[in-house]
Amino acid sequence: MKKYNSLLILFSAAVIGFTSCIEGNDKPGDPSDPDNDNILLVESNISSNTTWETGKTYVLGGRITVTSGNTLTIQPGAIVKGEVGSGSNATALIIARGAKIDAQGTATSPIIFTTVADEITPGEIASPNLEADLSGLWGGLIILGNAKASLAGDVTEIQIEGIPPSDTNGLYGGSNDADNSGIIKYISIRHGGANIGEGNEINGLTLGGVGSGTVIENVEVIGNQDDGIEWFGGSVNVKNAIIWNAGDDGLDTDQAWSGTLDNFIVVAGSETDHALEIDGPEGSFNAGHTLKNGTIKGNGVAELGDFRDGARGTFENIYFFNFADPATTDGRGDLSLSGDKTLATFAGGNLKFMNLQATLAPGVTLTTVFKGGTAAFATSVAAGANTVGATKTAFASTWSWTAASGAISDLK
Amino acid sequence: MKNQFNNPLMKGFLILFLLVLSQVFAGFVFAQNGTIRGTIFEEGTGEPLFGVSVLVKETSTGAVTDFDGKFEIKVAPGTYTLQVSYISYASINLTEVVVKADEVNVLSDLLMAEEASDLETVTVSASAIRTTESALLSVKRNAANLIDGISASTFRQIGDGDAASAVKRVTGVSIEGGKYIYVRGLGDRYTKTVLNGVDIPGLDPDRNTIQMDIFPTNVIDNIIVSKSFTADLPADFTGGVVDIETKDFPEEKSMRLSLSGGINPSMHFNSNYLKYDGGNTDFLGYDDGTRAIPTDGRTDIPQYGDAVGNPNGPKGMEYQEILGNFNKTLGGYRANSLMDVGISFSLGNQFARSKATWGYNFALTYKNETEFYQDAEYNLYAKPRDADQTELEPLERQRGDFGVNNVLLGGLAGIALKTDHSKFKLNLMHLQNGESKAGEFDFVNTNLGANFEAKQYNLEYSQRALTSVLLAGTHYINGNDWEINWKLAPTRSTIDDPDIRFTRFREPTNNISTEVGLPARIWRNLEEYSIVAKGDIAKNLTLFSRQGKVKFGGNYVFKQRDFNIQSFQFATGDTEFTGDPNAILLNENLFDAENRNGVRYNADFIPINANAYNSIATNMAGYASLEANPAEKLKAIIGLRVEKFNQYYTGTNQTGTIDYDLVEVLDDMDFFPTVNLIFNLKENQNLRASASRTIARPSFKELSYAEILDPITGRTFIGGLYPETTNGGTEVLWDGNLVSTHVNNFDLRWEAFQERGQMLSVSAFYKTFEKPIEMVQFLADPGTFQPRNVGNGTVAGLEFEFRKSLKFIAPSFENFSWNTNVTITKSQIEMSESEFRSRSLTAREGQEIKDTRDMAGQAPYLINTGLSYNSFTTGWEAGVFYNVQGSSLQYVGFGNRTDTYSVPFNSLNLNINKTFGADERLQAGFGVDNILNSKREFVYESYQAEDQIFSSLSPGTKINLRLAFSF
Repeated sequence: MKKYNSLLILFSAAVIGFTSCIEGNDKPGDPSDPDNDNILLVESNISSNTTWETGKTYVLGGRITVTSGNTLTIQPGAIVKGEVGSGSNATALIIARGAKIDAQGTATSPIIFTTVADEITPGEIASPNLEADLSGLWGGLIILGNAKASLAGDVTEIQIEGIPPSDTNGLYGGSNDADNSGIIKYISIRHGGANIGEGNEINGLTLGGVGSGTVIENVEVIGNQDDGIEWFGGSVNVKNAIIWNAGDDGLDTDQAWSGTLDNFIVVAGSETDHALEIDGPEGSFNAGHTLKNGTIKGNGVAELGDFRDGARGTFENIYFFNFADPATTDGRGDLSLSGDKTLATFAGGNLKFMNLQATLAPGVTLTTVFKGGTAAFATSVAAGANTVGATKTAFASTWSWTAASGAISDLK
Repeated sequence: MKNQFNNPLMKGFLILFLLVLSQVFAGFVFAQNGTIRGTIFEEGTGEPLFGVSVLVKETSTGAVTDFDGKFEIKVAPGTYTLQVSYISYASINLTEVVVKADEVNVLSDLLMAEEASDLETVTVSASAIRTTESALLSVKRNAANLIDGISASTFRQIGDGDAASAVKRVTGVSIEGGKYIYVRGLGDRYTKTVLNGVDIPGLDPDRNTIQMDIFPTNVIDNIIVSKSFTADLPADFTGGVVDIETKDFPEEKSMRLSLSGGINPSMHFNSNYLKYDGGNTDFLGYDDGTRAIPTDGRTDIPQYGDAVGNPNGPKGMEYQEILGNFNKTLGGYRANSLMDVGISFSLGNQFARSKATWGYNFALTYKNETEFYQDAEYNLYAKPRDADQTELEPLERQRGDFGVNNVLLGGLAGIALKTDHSKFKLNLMHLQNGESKAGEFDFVNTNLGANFEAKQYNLEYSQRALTSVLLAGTHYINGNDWEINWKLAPTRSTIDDPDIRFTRFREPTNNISTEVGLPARIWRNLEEYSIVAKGDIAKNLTLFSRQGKVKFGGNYVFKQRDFNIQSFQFATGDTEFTGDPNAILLNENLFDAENRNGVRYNADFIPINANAYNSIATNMAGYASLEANPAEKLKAIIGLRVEKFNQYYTGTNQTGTIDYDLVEVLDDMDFFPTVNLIFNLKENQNLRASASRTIARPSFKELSYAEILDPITGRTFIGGLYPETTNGGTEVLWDGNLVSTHVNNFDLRWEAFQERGQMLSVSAFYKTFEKPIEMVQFLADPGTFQPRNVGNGTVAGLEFEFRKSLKFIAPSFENFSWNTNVTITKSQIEMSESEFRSRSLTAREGQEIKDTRDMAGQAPYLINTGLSYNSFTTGWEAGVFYNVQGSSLQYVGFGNRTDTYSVPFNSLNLNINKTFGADERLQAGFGVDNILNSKREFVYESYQAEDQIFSSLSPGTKINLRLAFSF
């Protein structure tokens, strides 16, 4: 109990620290203050069906898991804020295997996941006090399911990255490809990505072994210290995803995810590594996924995509622009096939590209950007002349901060 | 912590030092006469003989030996004959005993045999009894249990500077990494190290035994390795108990100063050497505060999230202040390396007063050693995912240089007092050790989900301190009938790793991201107190009309450990870098109101720190043991020990849902029976048989909720209290209930002793392990290791040892002797169900998976052999020694990770010593270590695959020089 008390004191101190410096905004209530019903501190795992309500802010006091058999319902317009914490103390919301999330925001009232440092209040879209590239202030949203993943050593389940191995709520994978982890619509996840160690970090939205019974539509990830969305196996389909200022990769797929991502935008930030990082299976189970109808806006340091380790799948109708010249930046701004295994899946037709378009920097040729023979599937187009890409109307400024900020105003 | 010399113990040392000094000068007042000293042992039992008359034939003066078998006679300078006589023992006439004014002639150990039919007298010259190891051999031959050892005279001869290099000459003993002792190839889990017979806290949280290299040989009298259990020994050993006995009564006044130097051409005077600047007291083995944590260890410091919203608010300002106070050095620099140097001084004497004999010892040691490893490798390889592919694939490769500077400062002060019936001993010891490391590596990651090249910088400092006090007494009642021994020993040991720094830049862009790993800083502290109280009572009695002995006693041990790790990560935001690690924390890069996305720290241990824990262990033991000779040629020692061991843990699990406050995590009450039989086949030939039950208990760290990530290896240790399940929680892989391992030991040994310390022995041993503890990989996270009880195991072994003079070839080879000991073992362990399944799942095509494997850490063979030359007349001593330990399983593979084995290290060393002058005041030594220039390597092994390097270090060949003066 001593620990909880000190946690509480720390927490209240933190909150008092914030409230003392706010100008011009409504003063958010103290979550430890029982008189304020609008800010609620969540300190323990959710092990019964629970509803988080419109107009309220829920503060994740630690790594909060919705445990198996239970459903967390989040009503439109609710805000979820992660407490301060890093490493194994990173705060996160985990939907464990067998649990469900029902977070259906609307196009005018999204559900926002952010940090307690963010002074955003219900009804706002943009943060009043944090820039969109600030990251690592909390963990992220992690959904885990029982669908198949191709795992090293051919084990059937494994610990999701970013969660310490001692926490068994971090396990994912199984054999039920039709598994249902619930419904997510119109959510915006910001400023997260706290990490444990090298290659062991929390993504904005982590999908581990999530089955095709799950519905995920209209998801935004902003300013995450690691990847925007990362899939680890599973069969879930995702529609309308937008990623802005990812610290590592925009979209990252691993372990033979077998679903489809349809209609997506990646806007690289100054720290973004790959817009697309596509990895192959890790075990003997093979499957590929489909990414289609996407628009990717680069910058001077990011790469279009890296296809690795026997990557599989179909990548079609994707438009790239605003990337650097790979010849002068040591390979930045390219799309590459890494390793013999990937060259083999590409040659064998298990890795397919169709209708890629790019607006190239002056003097850059298609083959310097699209490497390993992929240039055959790409065409160069003038700025704004692309005929493939995302449908921008899905990302209205009424729910997407990226859209509201003007970061995609130059997209067709 | 900053000033180690402020503690009361150091003051005690100072007082003692002054006391000793006053005695040194007092000694000069007496003059003229010389002194003869010696010790007399019973040849049959190896025990000191009490009441032996020693007469100087020429003067008719003499003395009677005390209960230690010791005597002292003062006579005028000259050459004498001593007559040594004792009822029913054959008398000895010792001729040519030379006595010089103001000097002590210490005779080598004299052995008296029970007389045969006639009144016989053995006449021998004093110089002829000078052999090196015979006293210890005599103890060994007659000991109730199976022991081996090495004494001060041998270290001095071979020139070993620390206990680690000395003890590896003992049969069946090997040293891993220059520090940790292995007995009979069993890992350190099954070996116990005690100091003067009492438990001392380990200096490494990851180990059960203590680093042997911190004990300089000038504080050691002998090291005894007991390989079979008797009831008076602690029960928590299986391979052996290593007892380091510090000096008490010096035989003669000695003042010795020795200087040593070592030059390794590949490491020293190398301008490419890597170092970093620490504090001003690094050269004394401790940090002066330069590496102190800028938060004073507080856990209420603000985090980035507390500061980012309002950088100039109170929390923001505090955050910035702490951020700015982190030492800004993250990378080392290249500079010339110096050679190894060492200096040690020891002083000791005994002096008789009317009622008591006093003895004192004082020793100081300083060593400063530098190592530089170039092209060191640390890699991670794994099995490919297709079962028809056998060659291992690289996941991570790390190659580069690192420099190590190791400083050891040690002091021992001891005072002993002997009266007619009692002996008291007070010993104070402090060892201080500091090790500074700087490394630069090229890192290549080809692991799944990440693919990059990087430049990596490591800076580390580790300081260890051990302070130990021993107060001991021995009392004899009714002559030698009753012997009472008691010991009281408080010890404090600390290990601090202040500011381990890790930085990695991705190449060629020089950026820092979560994918390459964020810069990390770690402060690790361990403090352990222990107190041991011990009493033994022995009574000589007559059983079966022969001499016998009954022994009983008790032992109480209390240990407390405080452990704490605080680690920070530095996210770098949108800061751009040039690749200079020392530029990362420049003020212009740090977070502030104008640079909210700048470099900042994240304190990973707030609010829940599973790596801050406190553990207490208590062990109450009692035993009774009977030594008897039921038949003329048979000696039997039977005993029973009982130990009640309790361990308590205060700490929290990683999620904070379990919060223990001194919760009992281990409650064992065990009986440990033992039987040792010695058949005296014929004179100087024994057959020994023994059977016993012993125990191996989990360590403090193993019985905890700690979850420790090592940023350098990327491996995570997780405490044994966490369970692991699979198949959606339906199948329990590990239940979190870590228990002690019970071991049954069986030994058989035939041994023959010959004159001049020659001997031959053959032993066989067999051990069974119930639920041995091994480090097991998490099925759900292959980079994570946890101590678990695995299936039952067995170890069977053969040992062969001889010590042979080469005189049999030709008389001129009299001074050559050949020592060899060889241990061969076969170990087997039943795999856990999860391990067997994991191995089956990742089997290669055509590979057959068995449900048994080698026991982790168990070497299949161990060879020590050496040829030595020793001439007392010329003062030349020389030896060539070879040592090798067979490949043993280090890390058990799981999933796609494969087993890691050690590669045999062929160690060939040469030593030459020469003493000068009639009174041997000057000794010079020369040695060469690792003549074969072997590498220390560990490899990944897999079915039909080429071995791949796990780690590889080149220690190079080192030339040692020594010079010692006796005053």
